Amino acid sequence: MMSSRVVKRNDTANAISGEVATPLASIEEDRAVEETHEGNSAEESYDAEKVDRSQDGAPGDSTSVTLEGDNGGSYFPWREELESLVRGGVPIALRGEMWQAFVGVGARKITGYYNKLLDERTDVLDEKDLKDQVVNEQKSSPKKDPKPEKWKGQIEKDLPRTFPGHPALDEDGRNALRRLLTAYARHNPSVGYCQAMNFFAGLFLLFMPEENAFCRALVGVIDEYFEGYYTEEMIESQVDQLVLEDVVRERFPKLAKHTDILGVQVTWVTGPWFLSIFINMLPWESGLVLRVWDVILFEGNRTMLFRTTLALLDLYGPALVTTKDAGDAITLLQSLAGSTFDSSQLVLTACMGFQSVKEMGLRELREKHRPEIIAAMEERSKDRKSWKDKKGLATKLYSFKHDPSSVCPQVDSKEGADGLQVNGDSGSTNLGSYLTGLALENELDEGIDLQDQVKKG
Amino acid sequence: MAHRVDNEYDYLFKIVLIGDSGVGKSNILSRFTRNEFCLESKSTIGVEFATRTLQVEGKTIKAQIWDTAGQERYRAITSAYYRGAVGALLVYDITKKLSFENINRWLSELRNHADSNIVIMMVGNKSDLNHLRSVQEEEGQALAEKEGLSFLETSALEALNVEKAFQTILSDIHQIISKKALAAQEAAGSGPPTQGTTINVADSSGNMKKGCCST
Repeated sequence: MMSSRVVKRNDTANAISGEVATPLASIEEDRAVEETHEGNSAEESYDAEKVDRSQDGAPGDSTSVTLEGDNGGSYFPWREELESLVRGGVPIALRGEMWQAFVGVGARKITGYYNKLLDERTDVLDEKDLKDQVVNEQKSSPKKDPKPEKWKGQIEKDLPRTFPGHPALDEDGRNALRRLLTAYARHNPSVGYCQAMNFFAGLFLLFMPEENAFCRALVGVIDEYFEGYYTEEMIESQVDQLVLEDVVRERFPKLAKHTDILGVQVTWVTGPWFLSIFINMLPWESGLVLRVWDVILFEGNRTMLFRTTLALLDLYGPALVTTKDAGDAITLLQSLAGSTFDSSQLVLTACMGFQSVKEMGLRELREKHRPEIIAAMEERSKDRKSWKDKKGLATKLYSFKHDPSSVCPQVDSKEGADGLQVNGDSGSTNLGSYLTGLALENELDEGIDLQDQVKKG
Repeated sequence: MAHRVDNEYDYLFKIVLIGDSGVGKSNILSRFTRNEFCLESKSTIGVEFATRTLQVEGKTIKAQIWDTAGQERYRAITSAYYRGAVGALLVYDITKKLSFENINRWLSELRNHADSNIVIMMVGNKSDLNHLRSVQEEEGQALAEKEGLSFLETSALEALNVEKAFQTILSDIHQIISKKALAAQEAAGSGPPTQGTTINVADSSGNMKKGCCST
């Protein structure tokens, strides 16, 4: 069954190599289970494993490797088998243990840390503070003193909105979730609490004891794998979307052309995928979310986010290019992704079909795009200040050109510049005769600055 | 032509839903697009999206609605979604004074990042929780008037005024647009007139009804 699928992919998808057919499938799981039991102390084996993770990167380049120090002697004979196991789906009974082993390698030194964080200021966990915290959190005055507690209001709002109705998140479960998120915010005030972390913490709580969920999962994922993602500025999450856009244009030129015509940015849809690490975006029923998480936690970086997204676009691209307007395209992609029931095929396509998408290459692209995002962020904060002094002026300064340097040889942006920016109506009609009835958002992107000037000048 | 739209609608309007976390944006969206309400809804991560096609003033309008995350730090991300939006529903919770006080911050957010002619409607949600009310309807009304916005109190739970809120903003937009469509027709003279006209409030005519930039 598996292999027939694989063969089919070979015909269609770009560059799925012949070896695809070898690993995975359910038989593989059984074998792997045994191995894991045998080695269990899974922890020891995965320690070595994690150190060896540099496969995707150049020697010595991988952050995770350097963080963990010891990089030597790293050929670990089970690596490939383990990788196959992970790609084939970690058996549910072992998932909690294995996730902890993957992520929590460096965590032993901070045993006891969790309780210490929580003990620090127990009063903060009392309800009576809640109201003040909410106020503090959202006060418009600049926050000079980033106490972790300022996130309490947001955490409280999100507790009941984290897997609502899930039996594990009853009152006790929510209390555990509150402690976990509070401890994290205290542990890393530069991140504090960011929406989405509630889902990660909730997910970990389903698979492992509370303290481990903190020390051996949440901290590693947010501090290392997703460093810079959930901070106040969320820079890395924005950078990744620019990177993704590059990759999509390279891999799916036809799709990219179509979305340009529709005025859709794929990143509108993929942004939330990345931020939520597919939670609530891909179906739980097929186990797909968990299988993607298996790989992410195993690999210790964000490559799998890209690969999974590319696999989804590979799968649904042909349908997407038939859509006629932006709304249809987005709705279709969302709903197709949400009903991806063949999780094996998807993970396989992601890992094998897009194995040439590697952390190293992504890093280079990140370096390339980061300055744009930082510049936009600086403009943004400038905006905020200057708006208070002088209405309108700031708007002229701010221009988040989505990606001026690299990607967009867009039809519509050109059209937008020629026609719409100067004269919106005739421009849109010109375009309209070509693309009757399509909504072209991009033209507005181009038009904003000018418009603001006209309006406010 | 490959990309021709078959008369499914006359206009496509992009609307964003913004406001503090927890004021009920996602439920307003689900009430409007699917007639659903979920007491146990999930936090919105980044943005969510839905469409609905409806009749407004005799025209078929497809509303593309973007529901955004309310947490402050997400604004850097969500503001990218304002681009191209012709309307914004700015939502607060009538039981949370702070969400009302933050309206001004959201307005400045729109001024900085959305098109200057975007049509804004202020919405006080959760009117079913009258016993917990901390923002009087008159206060909302007064602020809306001061800022030149339209205003309604809604209850996504009771399906009260949600439809009306969207109808109002869509027809406001339509009124602006139809004038422009006419002008565009005259100017360009090509293509079928009303079919799938692209909507652009960002023209240079300064032709606006309820913009956000009145002093």
